[in-house]
Amino acid sequence: MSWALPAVDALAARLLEDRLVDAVLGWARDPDLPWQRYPHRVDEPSRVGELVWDPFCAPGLAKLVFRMTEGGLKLGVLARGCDALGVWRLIHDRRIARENVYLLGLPCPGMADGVRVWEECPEAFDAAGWEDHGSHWVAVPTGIRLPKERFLLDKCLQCQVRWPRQCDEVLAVQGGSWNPFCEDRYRQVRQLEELPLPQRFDFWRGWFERCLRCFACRQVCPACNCESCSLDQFEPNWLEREVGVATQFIFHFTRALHVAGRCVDCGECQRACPVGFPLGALNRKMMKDMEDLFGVREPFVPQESEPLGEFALDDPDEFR
Amino acid sequence: MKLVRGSDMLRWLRRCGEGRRWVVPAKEDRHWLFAERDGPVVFPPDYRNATVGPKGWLLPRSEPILYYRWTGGRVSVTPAQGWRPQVIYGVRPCDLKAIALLDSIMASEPWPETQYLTRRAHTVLVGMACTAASSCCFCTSMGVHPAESYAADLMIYPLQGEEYGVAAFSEVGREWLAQLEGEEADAAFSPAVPALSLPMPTSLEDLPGWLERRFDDPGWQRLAWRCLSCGLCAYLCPTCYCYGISDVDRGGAGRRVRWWDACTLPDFSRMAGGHDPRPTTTERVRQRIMHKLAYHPARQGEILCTGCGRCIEYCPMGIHLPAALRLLGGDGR
Amino acid sequence: MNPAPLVPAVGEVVEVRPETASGDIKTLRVRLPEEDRFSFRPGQCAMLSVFGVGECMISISSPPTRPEELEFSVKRVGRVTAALHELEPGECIGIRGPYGNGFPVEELRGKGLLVVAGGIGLAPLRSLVNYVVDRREEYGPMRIVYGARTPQDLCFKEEIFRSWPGVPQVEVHLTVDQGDEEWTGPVGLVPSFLEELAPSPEGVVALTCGPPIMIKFVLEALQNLGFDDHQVLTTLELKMQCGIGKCGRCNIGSRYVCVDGPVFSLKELRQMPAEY
Repeated sequence: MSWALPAVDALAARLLEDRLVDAVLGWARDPDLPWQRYPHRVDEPSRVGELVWDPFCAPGLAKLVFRMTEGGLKLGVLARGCDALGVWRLIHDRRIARENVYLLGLPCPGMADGVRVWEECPEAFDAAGWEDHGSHWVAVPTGIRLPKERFLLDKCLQCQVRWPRQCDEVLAVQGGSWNPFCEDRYRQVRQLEELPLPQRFDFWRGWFERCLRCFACRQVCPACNCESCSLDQFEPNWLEREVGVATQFIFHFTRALHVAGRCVDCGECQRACPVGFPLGALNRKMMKDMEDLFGVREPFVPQESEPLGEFALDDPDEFR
Repeated sequence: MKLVRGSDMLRWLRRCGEGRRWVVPAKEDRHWLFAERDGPVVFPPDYRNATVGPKGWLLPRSEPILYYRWTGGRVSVTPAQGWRPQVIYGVRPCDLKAIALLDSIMASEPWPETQYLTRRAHTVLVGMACTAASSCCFCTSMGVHPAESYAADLMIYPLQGEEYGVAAFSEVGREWLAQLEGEEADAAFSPAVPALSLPMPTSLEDLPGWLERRFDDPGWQRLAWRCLSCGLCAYLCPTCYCYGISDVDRGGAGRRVRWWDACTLPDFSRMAGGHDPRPTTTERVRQRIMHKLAYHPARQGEILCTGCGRCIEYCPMGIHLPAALRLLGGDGR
Repeated sequence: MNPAPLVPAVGEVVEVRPETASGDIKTLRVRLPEEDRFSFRPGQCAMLSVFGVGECMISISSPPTRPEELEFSVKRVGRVTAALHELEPGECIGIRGPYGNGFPVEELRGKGLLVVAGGIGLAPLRSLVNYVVDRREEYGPMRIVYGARTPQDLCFKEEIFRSWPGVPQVEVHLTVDQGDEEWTGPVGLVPSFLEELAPSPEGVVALTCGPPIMIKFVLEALQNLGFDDHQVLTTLELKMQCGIGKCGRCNIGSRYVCVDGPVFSLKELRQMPAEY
C-alpha cells in the first residue's frame, strides 16, 4: 500500500474548493527538524501541498479540533482511527457539533518514532514517498526499509483502532484494521492483575514518583474536555499541587476513572508523557472492566449511550 | 587536569563523597533520569543526557517552606529545613550552565532565596563533558560550550577508552582532586558537536531587541495555536524556575509548600476575581520564549536557554525555539 | 540575608473595620511583635497569610509615620481574601514584607500632588496621603480626587469627609457613579470628573490607582490636561506568589512587579508589554 499523499491533497483541495469546509487540519513537515511533523491547518486549496501523510505524523489531532471548531469553523480533519474516535468522543460529549467536522478517514499502518529513526537511520528522511509493507515501512525510491517492530511509536504498537471508523469518507487505499503487533490488548493489564497487591502497589508507586505532573496527558486527551477540571479547582481543593505519592494517586486515578468508559484508546497520553508513564495500562484496565462488568465489546468506541454515562431509575445496583 | 583510569576515578569519587547523597543519571525503562543511587557509575555509551535533568534536586518539584500548628487560637510556625549534603554526578554542560543561571537568579537582591542557596551550598557538582550529542541539542547556538565547566566543582572529560581527564573548578573541587592519584597532564579533549544549529536571525546580543520588536508579530499565533497548555516544556527545561505556593492543611496543622509551576499552564497568571493578562496560548507561549530570550537578558544580562533541546524533543505538538525564530522572521508557515 | 524570606512573622489582628455598606472591603489593623516590625515606604505591600488557607499580597494602607500598627484594606475577591475577612480581633495573621518599590517620597518632596483613586484603589494612596499629612511642610498642595460606584462604596469615610479636608493645603474632591437620597455631591465617573476639575500640571505629580478600566481613562484624561508621562505614577496589580522576585508569576517584560513595582511612571509603563 502506498501512502498516497497526492490523493490526500486532492481530497483536501476538493473539500476546500467545494466550500464543504473552511479549513483542513492535517500535518506538515517541520522545516527545522527532518523527523518531525506537526499539526497544520490549511485554508486555501492552493496550499494543500503543505500537508503531509507519511509514517512520521505522530501528533493526534482530536483535541485541536475541539478548540478550532469552538467558534463555528467548519473543519475537514485528516483522521486516522485514533483521531476519528477522538473527534467522536468530543461529538458525543457535545463539545464538537457534528456538522462542523468533515472526517477524511485515512487507514493507518502505524506511525514511527521520528527521533529514533533520525538517530539510527537519518537517510530514511531522503525519501520522496513511502509504502507500507505490513511489517516494514519502505522509502521510495531509496528502498530503505524501516522495521516497525523497532520503530513504531508505543501508542501505535498497542493500537487497536487503525481503521478510521465513522468517517464522512475513507480514502480508498488498502490497509486493514488489524494490528499484528497487538494480538492481546489486555496482556499488560492481565500481567499486572496477576501481581500480588504489594508488588502491584510498588509498580505504580515507582511510576507515581517519576511522574512530573506536567498535565501533558490530560491536555492531549480528547476525553478530558471538561470546561473546568476538578483537578484544577481550588474550592474545594481536590488535588493539592504538592507532589507526593498520595497526590499522584489522586491525580492519576481520578483521571483514569473520569475517562473510564470514555477513553478512545488513542494513546496520545502515552505519547505525550515525557517519562514513559504506562498510562495505557491504566486506561486499558478500565476498558477491560467495561468489557467484563458491562459487556461492552469495544469500550473505546464512543456511543450515543454508554453504561457509565447513563442514569436508569431501574438500575439494579444500589448507589452506596 | 589529572589523567585517571575509570575504575580508579569511581573509587576516588566514592571516597570523597562519603556521607553525601549520590544523585546520578540512571536509566529506568527507556528513560534517563537523575536518581538517588549509592555511588557514581560508569556511563554506558548510549547516555547523552537525561530526559529529566538534575534541576529537581536543587529546586524540588514540591517542597515545604514551613510547618504551622494551631493551638488554642495561636499559631506556631517552623521554617522547613530541606537539604542534605549531596553530589550530583554526570551533569552535562548545558545543565551546568543552567544551574549557574539558577544560582544567579536565586541569589539576586533584594531577597536572596535562602532555601535554594543553602541546598546549593551543600551540593558538589561533578560535570561530564559531552562526547556524543543528543538528537535535539543546540548548545553552541546559545553560546554554551559542550566541554565548559560553568557551575561544576569538578569536570570529567572522557578520553580514550578507559581513560578520563579530571579538572577542578572550585575550592571543594580542588580539595577532592588533591586526593586523586593521577598523572598531571594537558590532554586534548574534542567535545561532541551539537546535533542542531539554530537558524539565528541575528547575533545573540541583538536577539532580545529583535524579539521585543516582534512582540505583536502574528508569528506568535501561528506558533501557539497548537499549544495544548500543558507544562511539559517548562518542567523539563533546566532553567525554568517559576513556582507557586499553597497550604496543605490537615485540620489544625499543616505545611506551606511550593511547587513547580509553568507559565504555559492556563491558570498561571489568572488573578483572584478572574482577570487574566495572558488568556490564550498565544500570550503564554510568547511569555515563555520572551522571558528566556528577551526579558531575562534585559534584566540579568544572560539568555535563559542553554540549548539542551528537551523542549524540542518532547513537546507533543512540535512547538519549539527554531520554529519560533523562523515564524517571527517572516516565514509565513 | 533574611534566613527564610518566605516564612512570615505572626502578628495579631487588633481591629477589623468594614469600609463599605456591603462589607466587600474591610480594613484590618494589625500589630506585629517588636522584633518583627519593619520600616517601609508608602505604596509598598506585604504578604498576608491565613495559615491553612494561603497568602495574598495587599498594599499597606497606613503610613510609615505611624509605625506601631499596620493597616491593610482588603477587598473580598477570592479564597484568601475571604478568609482574611473572617478574622476577628485577637486572632493570628501571617505577615511578611515589605515588598515593592513604593512611591518615591523623596523625589516628590516640594511638589504638588494630585491623587486620583477609585474604589479600593485609594488604599495604597491613603498611606501616601497620611504620610504627607504627617509631614505637611515638606510637600506642596495636595489634591485628592476619589470616586466609587455609590456613596456606600467610598472607603475611609472618616478621613475623606472629616480629617483630610481640614488639613492645610489639602483638597478632597469626591464623586460617585450613582448617587442616593443623601448624596449631594457630584455624580460621574472619575476620569471625566477629573477633566472638569482641570488641575494644572505645573509642578505637580499625579498618582493614580483603581480598577484597570478607570486607570486607562484617567491616564488619557491626565494626558489631555497636559501631564507629561514622567509626571504620572500608577500602580500595577498582577498575580503574585513569592513577593521576592523569584517565582516568576508577576513578570512583565524585564520587570517583576513585586520587586520593581507596583509603582511605575507612565513613561516606564509605556515601555512595558501591555500584559496587565
